[in-house]
Amino acid sequence: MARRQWQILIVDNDADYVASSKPFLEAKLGRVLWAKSEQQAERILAKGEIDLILLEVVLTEPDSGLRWCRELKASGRFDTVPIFILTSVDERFGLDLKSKLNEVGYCPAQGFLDKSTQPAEIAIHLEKFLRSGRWRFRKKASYRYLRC
Amino acid sequence: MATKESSITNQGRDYTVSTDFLQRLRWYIRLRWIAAAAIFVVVLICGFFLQVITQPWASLAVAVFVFLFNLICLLTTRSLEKKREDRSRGRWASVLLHIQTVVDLVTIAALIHLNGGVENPFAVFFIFHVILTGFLLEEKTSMAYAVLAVALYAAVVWGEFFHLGSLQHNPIDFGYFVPAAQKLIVWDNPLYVFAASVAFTLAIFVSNYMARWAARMLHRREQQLEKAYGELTAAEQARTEYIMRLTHELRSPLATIRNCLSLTLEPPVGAAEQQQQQNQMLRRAHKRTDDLLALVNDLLDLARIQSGKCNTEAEHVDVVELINETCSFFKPRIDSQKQKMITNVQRDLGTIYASRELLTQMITNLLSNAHKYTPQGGTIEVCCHRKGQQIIIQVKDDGIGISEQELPRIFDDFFRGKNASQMSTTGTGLGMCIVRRAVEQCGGTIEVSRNVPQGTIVTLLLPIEKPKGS
Repeated sequence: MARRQWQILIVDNDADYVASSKPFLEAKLGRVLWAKSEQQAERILAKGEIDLILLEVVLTEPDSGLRWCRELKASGRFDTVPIFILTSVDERFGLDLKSKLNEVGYCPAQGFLDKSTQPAEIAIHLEKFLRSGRWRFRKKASYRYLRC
Repeated sequence: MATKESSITNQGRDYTVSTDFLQRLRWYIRLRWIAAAAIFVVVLICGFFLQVITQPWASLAVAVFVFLFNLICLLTTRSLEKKREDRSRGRWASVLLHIQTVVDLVTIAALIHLNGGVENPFAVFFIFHVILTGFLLEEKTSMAYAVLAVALYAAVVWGEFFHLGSLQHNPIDFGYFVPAAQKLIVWDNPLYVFAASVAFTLAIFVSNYMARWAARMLHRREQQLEKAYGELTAAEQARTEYIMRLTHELRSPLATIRNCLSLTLEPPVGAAEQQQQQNQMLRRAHKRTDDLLALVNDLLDLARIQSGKCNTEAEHVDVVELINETCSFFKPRIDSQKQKMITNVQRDLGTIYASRELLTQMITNLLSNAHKYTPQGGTIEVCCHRKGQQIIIQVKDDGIGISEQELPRIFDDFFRGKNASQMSTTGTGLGMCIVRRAVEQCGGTIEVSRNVPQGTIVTLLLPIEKPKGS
């Protein structure tokens, strides 16, 4: 049986990070699209079938990613597309974003990914998540399927 | 803390008509239950057993009225509690409070009239309402209720004295306790009635004033606490944003460098593409290492300036020499971009008492920004002159500039303007922040404005002598 090709959208303004992790994600998951900003991401989402969004927290503002995630889910648009938060923010720096993500309403994302995780590892976890198809039955916010 | 959705705004006092306000109404109602029960018991004992009261049935009717009225108030308050929190609920709660206060005052007046008028010591109960209104209502309204209380009391005691209308005095019969010869009959003594009225009026107005004063103090304290809470929240928000930005800036380049190296060591693609991809990844890793190094250097500079260590190294510095040295250092970089540098420095400027390191840092950062954000062929101008006891250093460029909206944020940590981010991917967003801190350490000020027709002007105003107290 042919392997399913997924379409992943990375929303991150760091071109270098995207370029360096894209080959790993593409090798495991399929097509990887890149949006530099929230607006660009919405245009891509409107165009085609995106299976999963990888969203960086710090975009133009330190919490732009979180705000966009909340807006997107609150509006009901693309609520079947799971979002994984990708961030370098860590509790070792005095801000426990991981715990905050578990608070209801703080961020309606499906999971949290540490940016320092190997992209190959991220790809394996995302593939596992996408294959399980669990999010299809839980359209509304359901937290943390995956932690790396 | 009360919600701010609906409120009655009164002369600087903002009584929030919400759950909090309705709770006060419930408290008012609870007090009235106690009052009604007390009236009932006192009337039973004094009216029917001791026979002190001459109108026990009328007093009992008043007690029953208070019970019924309070029941209506309770039901109305409950229905208001079920309603959605909006302005109409606030209005109704306020109306209910006014009705209750008026009815209470009239009821007390009726009870006083039925039970001895000026001879009744329970007239002081008026004061409770005046204090309550002083806390719950706006100052003018509370004063109006104080006037109403005085008017009602005066109507009872002077009405009985002058037999106004059908107002007859209902004496308290102390025969059970006191021999008939010593009965207390003072209601027809004009001097006593006058003295009682004056004492009552004074007591009412002083109580009202004290209640209003206490309410004002409490409100002021509440405002101070709210302000402090707002400041704490804002500081916490700023701290969170700073940490998020700092963590992001420090860890993201490392993640990228590691990914690039992983891709070079174990590429997940075919051999043909491998070499090209490896070179590209190594270039990216190299660039990100430079970025990270610049960030770490800027953070260290900022920490050093904030710690105040540089300021202890102040000395007399020749400004002209310092500017010329820094400009010559930048010359090769500026020439490589075919940019033009103009220095316009007043010759006999003399020296300035400041840290050489801080001054160099300021001018270097400003020149670096001007160079980075000015396109090829652009002009950078450095001006320096003396004005009174200040040295004014200006760095002007005709580069991309900064928008009017972004101008107030230029000194924020990690802030980079939209134009700047589009033109150059490198830049930590700490340069201007470092300059501002350095200028402040030297006791000076910094101004940033837009150059006409395009570009930016940064002006440093530095005191020649060491500022007092620094």
